[in-house]
Amino acid sequence: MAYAFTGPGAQRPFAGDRWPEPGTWTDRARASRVEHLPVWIAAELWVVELEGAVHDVGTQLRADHGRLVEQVDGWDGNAAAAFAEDCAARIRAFAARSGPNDAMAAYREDAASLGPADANVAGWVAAHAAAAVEGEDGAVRERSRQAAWLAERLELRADGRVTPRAPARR
Amino acid sequence: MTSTDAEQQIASPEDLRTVEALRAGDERVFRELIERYTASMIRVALMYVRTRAVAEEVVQDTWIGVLGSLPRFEGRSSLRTWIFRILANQARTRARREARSVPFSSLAGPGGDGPTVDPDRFLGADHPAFPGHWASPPRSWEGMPEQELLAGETRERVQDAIDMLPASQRAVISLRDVEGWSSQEVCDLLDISEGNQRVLLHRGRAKVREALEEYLDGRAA
Amino acid sequence: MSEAQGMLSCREVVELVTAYLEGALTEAEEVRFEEHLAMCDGCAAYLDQMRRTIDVAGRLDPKAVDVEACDRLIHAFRTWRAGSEPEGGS
Repeated sequence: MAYAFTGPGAQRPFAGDRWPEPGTWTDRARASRVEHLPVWIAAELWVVELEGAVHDVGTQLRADHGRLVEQVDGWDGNAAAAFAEDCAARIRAFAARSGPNDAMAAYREDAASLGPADANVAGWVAAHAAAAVEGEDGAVRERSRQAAWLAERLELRADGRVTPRAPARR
Repeated sequence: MTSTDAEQQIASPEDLRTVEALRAGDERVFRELIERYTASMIRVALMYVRTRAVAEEVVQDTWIGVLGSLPRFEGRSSLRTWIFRILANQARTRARREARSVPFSSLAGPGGDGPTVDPDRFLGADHPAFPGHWASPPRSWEGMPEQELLAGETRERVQDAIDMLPASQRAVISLRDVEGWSSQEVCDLLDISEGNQRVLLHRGRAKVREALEEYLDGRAA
Repeated sequence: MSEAQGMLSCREVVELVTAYLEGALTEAEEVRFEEHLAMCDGCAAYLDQMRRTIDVAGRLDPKAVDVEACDRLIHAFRTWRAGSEPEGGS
């Protein structure tokens, strides 16, 4: 199993179409392991099943076929707002540790207005703020922290194990 | 409109019926054919010759040539491909004969390879936190009522924008997006690389999108 | 995972849109492109606008042929028909 963020109504991001209803297979499936979820944050979160030639491309899992299994109801406006607020707090903390810095000032200003719709951006800014203070490693750690936050809040399978199977013709 | 990637589409049963009808002297079929393809043929001809008047002559000559060559149509390519190849050859020949033809080096179109979106819409490279990010981002059109995008006036604006493009961008976007030719088909016809074709398509589409954005944003305001 | 390296700016993203839609980017480039869109409403809107523009273009009717040009061609057709069928086509 893996997870996929989608737009409202299971809209496939950037593909201009929607996932079919849960249970129905589709081609060119994209999803993520738990550890990579933060960069893909969007309106809805789904458990997905992948099949056939599953492979990693950076933070994305790609497979010949996939289908939605069920929606992760815990990911709603409240969760997104909480995530954004948590990132905003991280940004303020990083800002406090950094000296006078135009970039950090801009990040902190941005953080002041993060709402539930900005959860993805909040994570991005937090990672950049971390990088500004702690370097590249800091950004990696911040993203890991964000992933752990999501996993705990939403009770996601931490191993993000995917069970690829030999493609069964449907 | 499907096509195999590597090869030209071979003639469909419909193509063969059309050719048969033409050879039997069916005027209605011929009229339908010229109505379907002539506008596109003029656009392609304008990639090679300078003026619309000459392009129209080239297209006229092409249709005459098509009729004369009908016995030689073997169905190894689609009828459309066959017609447009005759056109391309006619256009190139005419361009060579004309004293001032459009040189192929201008295939990239005026403006060369500069940015396709006004740089003023982005934050500068020296921005401390978000270099190169949108300063004035485009609006989402998702909330727009369906009929707005489907309306005749919207289509007219898009057509106008396409008509105003430099010849090669106009031809590529017309063949690809308006007529539905595949990338392979366009490259084969115009004898250009995928990369060249993509640049022309990219620049053309960017201008048309911009025109459409101006129009729709103007209506929303 | 490198956050800072190879990050795309919006200005770069808008120049990659056509290659993305054509499937001409490598898988790695596609993912970087999509990562940017996930966090950038502006670029997501740009891509959506581009898709809709292409959609409208696909709905354009073939332009009407100049009546005069059409008549000339029909005339030419009849001439050709008469010439190529000596027994007289209908």
